[in-house]
Amino acid sequence: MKLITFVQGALLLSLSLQSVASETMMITDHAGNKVEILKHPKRIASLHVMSATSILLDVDAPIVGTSTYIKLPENKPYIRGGEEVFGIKFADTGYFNYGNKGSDIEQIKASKPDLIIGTVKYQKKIFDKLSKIAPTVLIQRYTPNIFDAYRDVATWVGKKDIFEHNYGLYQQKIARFKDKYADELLGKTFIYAVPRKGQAEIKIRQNSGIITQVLFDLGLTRPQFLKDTFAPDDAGGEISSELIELLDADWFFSTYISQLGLGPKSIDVGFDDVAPGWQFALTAYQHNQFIRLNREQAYSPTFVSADYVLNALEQQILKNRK
Amino acid sequence: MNIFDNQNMIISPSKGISLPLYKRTFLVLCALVVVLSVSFICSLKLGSVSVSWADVYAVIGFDMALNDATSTIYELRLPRIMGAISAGALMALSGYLLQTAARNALADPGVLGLSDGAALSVIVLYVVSLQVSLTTSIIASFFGVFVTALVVLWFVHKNLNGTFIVLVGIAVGAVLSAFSDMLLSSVTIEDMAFLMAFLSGSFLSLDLASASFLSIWMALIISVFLLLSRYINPLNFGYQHAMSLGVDAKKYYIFIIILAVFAMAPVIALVGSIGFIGLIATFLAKNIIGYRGTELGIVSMLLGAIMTLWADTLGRTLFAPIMINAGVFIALIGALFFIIMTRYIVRQ
Amino acid sequence: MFQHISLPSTLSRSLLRILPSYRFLGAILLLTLMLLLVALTHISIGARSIAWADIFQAIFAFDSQQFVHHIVIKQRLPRLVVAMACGAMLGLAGFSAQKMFQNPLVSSSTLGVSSGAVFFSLCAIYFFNVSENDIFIPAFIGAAVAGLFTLSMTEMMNRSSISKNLHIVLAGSLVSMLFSSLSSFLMQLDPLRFANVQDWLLGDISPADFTDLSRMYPLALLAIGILLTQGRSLDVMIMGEKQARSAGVNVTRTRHITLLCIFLLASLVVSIVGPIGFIGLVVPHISKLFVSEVGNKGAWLSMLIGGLLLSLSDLLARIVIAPKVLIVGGVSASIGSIFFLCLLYFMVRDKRVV
Repeated sequence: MKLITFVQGALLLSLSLQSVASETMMITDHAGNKVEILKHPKRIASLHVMSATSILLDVDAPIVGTSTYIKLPENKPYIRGGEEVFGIKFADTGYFNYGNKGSDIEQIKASKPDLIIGTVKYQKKIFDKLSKIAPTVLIQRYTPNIFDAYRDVATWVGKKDIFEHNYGLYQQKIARFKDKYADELLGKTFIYAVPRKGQAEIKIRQNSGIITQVLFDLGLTRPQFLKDTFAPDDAGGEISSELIELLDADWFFSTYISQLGLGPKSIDVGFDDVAPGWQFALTAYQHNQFIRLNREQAYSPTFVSADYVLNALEQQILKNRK
Repeated sequence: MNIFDNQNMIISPSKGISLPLYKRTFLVLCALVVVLSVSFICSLKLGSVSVSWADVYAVIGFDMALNDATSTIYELRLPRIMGAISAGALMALSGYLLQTAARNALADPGVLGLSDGAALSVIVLYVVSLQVSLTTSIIASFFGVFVTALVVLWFVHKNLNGTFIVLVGIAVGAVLSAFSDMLLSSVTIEDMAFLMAFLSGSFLSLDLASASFLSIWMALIISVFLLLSRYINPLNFGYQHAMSLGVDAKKYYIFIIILAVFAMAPVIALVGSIGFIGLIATFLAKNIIGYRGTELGIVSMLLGAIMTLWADTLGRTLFAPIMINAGVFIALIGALFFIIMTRYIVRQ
Repeated sequence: MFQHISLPSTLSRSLLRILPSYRFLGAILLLTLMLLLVALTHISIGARSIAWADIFQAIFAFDSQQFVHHIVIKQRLPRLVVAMACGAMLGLAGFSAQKMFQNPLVSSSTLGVSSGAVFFSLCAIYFFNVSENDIFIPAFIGAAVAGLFTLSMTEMMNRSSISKNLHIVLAGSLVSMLFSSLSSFLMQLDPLRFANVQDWLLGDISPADFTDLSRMYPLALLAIGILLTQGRSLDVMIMGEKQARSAGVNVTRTRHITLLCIFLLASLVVSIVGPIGFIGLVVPHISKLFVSEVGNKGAWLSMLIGGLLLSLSDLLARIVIAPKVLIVGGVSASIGSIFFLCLLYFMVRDKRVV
């Protein structure tokens, strides 16, 4: 008897010890740092909206503060895409405000986070300073498959199961979509490009967030010009607007920024400005396969945006079928 | 009252250090030290997050009770404050030395294009190799400053007219910053966003180690300056007078320039390009104490430190959570000062 | 009266041997030829090479189905025309400035005028939400403010003086520094708002097209016309203020009008393509190789040379590190500032100034 209770007791004890010890885990972030972080952080500080805050909102992780964009004369901070994708305004959230690109370190410290998520691009230099405040991890913005980054962030905040569940649903949706619209999608190419008014160039976003990810998942491929010019993992780049004929793909996607008060037609205006005569150069336009997306709704690396992109594509396909 | 009257001297020049301290200068020094200390304490208190005076006293009194407020002050503000004071002092001294060498009150690392040269070298370094250590960036900075100084000297060595030197410096600076701009705009490296910030001088990424390095460096340079002050002093009266006093002027002009270079190079490597501190600080100092001896160097160092400290503190407090780089504030004040100063240029 | 820097003496000697009138005609011919050459090259070179035959076809027999023709007419030609027009404006402004101040170092960029224009434009964009297309008025105000600032600073410096010529350039550089640091400060407050203007700040021709020009040309032509009419008065003023007054020239009015036109031209250029520097500085010197600065021949020549120079810089900017593209303002700043340095050096060496 006594032996059994002793063994039971020992087992219980060791189990509970393990659960205490397993509250942290060792991970390697995208900058190669080996960091020990909590398995289930309760106060997450996000230093970049598009790479981290959006994902955190999507998986419903406990955010304590985020970097924001502040329009100074009115002094109104807001989260890019927060309203369009999640319907939230910064003022209602009660989050700490870390300023533009998370540069206000004192606020970060004051919010007492137990995990800080930053980006390689902006936080590399102050990584050590941040690590003193709380375990810090850095994300690489343009990982080839955006869901890998998503999975990483979800894991780091202890919401991996939520991600896997949603990802499974997403993959089923993609499979069904591919079947239903095989005529329009099988073996076709796509391109996502925006006119750069300030430079008479066209910015090609080859690997850029959810938009390209969804399209690649649907089986669409890059047109020949992109294959010749950019490596598969490149984020893309700017090319002279004179080369617009070479950008012709079966499906042409572009985005407009509603935050600045612009509408879908601003894309047309932008292309007119940058590459006059573009309507003649793009067969995608002539075949009504030119899709204009609201950037704030489409760009965030979340399943909400993935749905938005799929819907937009579906609507265009159905419209063409009539 | 003749300011050079012996009766006003508090400390007579000794054999080793030439630092005759006249009464007025002495008072000014004391006042500035007080102002610096007060600024130091205020900077500890001011910031995006509010801390109480009790916390400030705790940090100063080395009472490392390490609650949130004190560690905020200690880890986040102290390095910046130390860095700003050291950087300001070093750049001010550099400005004073350059002005002595150029015999012109407008000389300054920013005006003479030296900080543009250093910034360009560091940018080239970052563009060429992605892994840059602290020492390599400092070496690049030294290289940049030296080369620029040589170029400027080459252009002016035959004609030492003050305005000409300054104009050549500005022109050289323009060339170098044109190259920097071109380089930065044509090269898009994803994780080099901080290079843009680097050009305008920021204390944000300064950690305790670098700040301590700068402070130690400052102490070193000050010591060298003091030890050689008896040779530097006569140069303020001109080449001929210096020679007649037995000082080999040419040699010491060169030495002064080298010392100025050594003073400024690490600052630019660590903090970015912040010019004009020397200009403003020395100008103000001269107007307060009235003459150009080596004590002016010390006074302008104090003023430079105070200025830079406030530039950084205001930059991180005024529009929080938006952070403005200290360099931008200083450039602004510097340019304004330049304008005000022009009525005094000719009197030099 | 005829101030020129000592360029390689063989060149100037051989040029001076030719009679003035033939020199002028010869210059016009040569430069027009070069302009045509540069123009054709400019249009044919770019991300895709376009044969000269195609260019002629596009201009004379436009076929809307051929995209190449679109490129020529709607993208490259406007860019070329804007480059030539802005270059001409800058050239004339520089010529007039150097004639009026009798100082070979002045130009709209070395007087701080362009920086002032830029800063005021940024303020308009930031505080008053002015669109980037409508910044001419704030640009003009900024140009005038900066220019006047420089002049008053020069007055102060000149009070007890030598090296008057250097003073004005010094004042101009300081004013320029002031306004650029003010601009940096403003941009730090709201980086996203100014993301589109990063290239414009350096001086960028690429986005300009006919619509910009069509908005500006009335004012530009007005300013050019007025400057040309002032040529006579400026000639007389070269002799000196007293002499000019006794010859019946209203010196103050001429000065004011000329300055106003210079500010106007500079701010027009800034509002279209941004602060392109040093063209106004370099052009008058080249023009003085061919004709004296007296009379209006120099003015016309300066416009021609200015157009040529800016188109050439734009061409260089697009070729030098092809397929990547440099920004014109960067190229002209780099080359121009080196030219400025050499100019300064030679001037002081030959004791023309100090």
